Amino acid sequence: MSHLKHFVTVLTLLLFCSISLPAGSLAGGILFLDSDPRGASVMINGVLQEKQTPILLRALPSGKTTITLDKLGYATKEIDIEVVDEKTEVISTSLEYAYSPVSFNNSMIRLHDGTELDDATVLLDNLNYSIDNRGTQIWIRPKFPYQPLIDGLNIAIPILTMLSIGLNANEVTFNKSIGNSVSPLAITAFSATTAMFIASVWLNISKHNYQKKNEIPLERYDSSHSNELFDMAELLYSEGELERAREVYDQLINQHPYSRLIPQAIYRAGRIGAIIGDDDNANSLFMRILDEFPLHTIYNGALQGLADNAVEADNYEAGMNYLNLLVPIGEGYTAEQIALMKCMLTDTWGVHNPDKAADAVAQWRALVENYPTSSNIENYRISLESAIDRTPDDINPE
Amino acid sequence: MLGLVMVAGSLTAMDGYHVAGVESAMYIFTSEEEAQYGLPLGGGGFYDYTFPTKVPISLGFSSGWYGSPARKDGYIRSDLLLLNLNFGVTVARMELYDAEITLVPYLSYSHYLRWITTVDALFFGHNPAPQLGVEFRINTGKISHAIGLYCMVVLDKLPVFLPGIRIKSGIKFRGSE
Repeated sequence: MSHLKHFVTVLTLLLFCSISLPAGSLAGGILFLDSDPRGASVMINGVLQEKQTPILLRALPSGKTTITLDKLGYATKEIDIEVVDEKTEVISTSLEYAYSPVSFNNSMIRLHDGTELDDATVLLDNLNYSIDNRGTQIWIRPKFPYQPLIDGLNIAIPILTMLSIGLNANEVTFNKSIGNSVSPLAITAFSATTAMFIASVWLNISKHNYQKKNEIPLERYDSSHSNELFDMAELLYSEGELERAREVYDQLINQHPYSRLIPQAIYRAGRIGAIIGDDDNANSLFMRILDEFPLHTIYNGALQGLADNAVEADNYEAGMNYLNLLVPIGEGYTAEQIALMKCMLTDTWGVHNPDKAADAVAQWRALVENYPTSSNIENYRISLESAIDRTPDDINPE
Repeated sequence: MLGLVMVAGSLTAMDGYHVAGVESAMYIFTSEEEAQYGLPLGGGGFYDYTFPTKVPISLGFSSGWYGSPARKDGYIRSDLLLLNLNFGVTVARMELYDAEITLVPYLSYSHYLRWITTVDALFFGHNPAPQLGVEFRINTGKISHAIGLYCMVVLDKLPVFLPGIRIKSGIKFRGSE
């Protein structure tokens, strides 16, 4: 446990150290790319990338590179950069609104060809959206493909109900058979009305789910309240009210899924989870950062959080895998600091697994040799000697 | 009639939701071939008003005509005129984009007037018949549909329990409109 504490303490201290040294060996360049709004398709030298912004691109070939950002409703943007091996670039750019096919005034919707309508349908992302002019409000909502069926049922159900009443009356008036017999027609009409009612309920729930899934992000109209929530959560966090801060971050995440503050809120909630020991929750939030929001401000922090939790669970291999993904950027994550984190982890790993003790020695030695002018070089040498002392003679590389 | 129009007029001026429409109902088959109240079926009209309170309360009125098929050694025909006053409370509500689904248990006081025609005579009788049931409603814009399951207790010499199912469909409008 003392090793673990030592590891975490050194990592924490390193975050606040200011060390400027050349990056370690990396193949190609690294690029953190973000756009406002997010969700733009990315092409690198004409090759479409699997993920949309924000995106982290590794191993970019060095040289002149053209980045193309494309998002429906916005002008395509091209950015030329010079990619340098072993260097991390950060690009955050805004997209300009493109030509809009629809404009509005107080009473009508005016299409680009001059046609004026009360209501209109537009095609966005291959989905039809209906635009309803409600006087002071414009409603833009996904058009449910089975809406005609709902309208049809709204007409059919009352008609069939009346037909059912008529057939019931006919049954009582003209059916002269004795006992509990009702004509199949009366039963069928009643059952069909019941089935239509159930279909109407099912279709309306499907419509609700469809519209919720495809609604247009309201990020721009969302900012005021989400900013307030974020500020409140940050204040609580800084005052050490971690549980309450997490509740407010969760509120922001759940209520404002399109806010630009979501990545920071997820990261903070993950940090709180890690601090209070809710590791599963913290891990799932950190994984969201890696998967959905690889922003340069929080990416390394999420990886480090995952590595810490893995080490706490004695899963050193997973911890090392996360550390291997760290990107050298900024003061907290220079190549030297990343190398040191790996040394620390291997050192701790070596205590539990003698096979790793030799690796720890090798890593400490590489650190000493690669960073001879480091202000921490004396500490590195002491750690190297200590690692050599701990290593059994039969596997000591010396 | 004038009084009815005045009541209807003042009701429709109130806030909240009004629904007026038609309903078709069937009572569950009884296994007794010669049951005195065997298998009435029929339909009629209804009116429901839902107060705009936090827990919505519904008051309703309905009237319908029902009949039972003939019996072997009994009557040729049996007609019932059923008058109901309902009181319901919305206990569950699901709001959708353009619709709402509600679950409304209700209690109603009903009274029926019954004419029984035999081969050689016509008998008339009436009895109270309270109902307890639950309605599953869906309101989509100006249209409202509901399906209800209920049990009517005919307070005859011996109480008779008649479980039934009804379908309602009507037009929904706001009082202030």
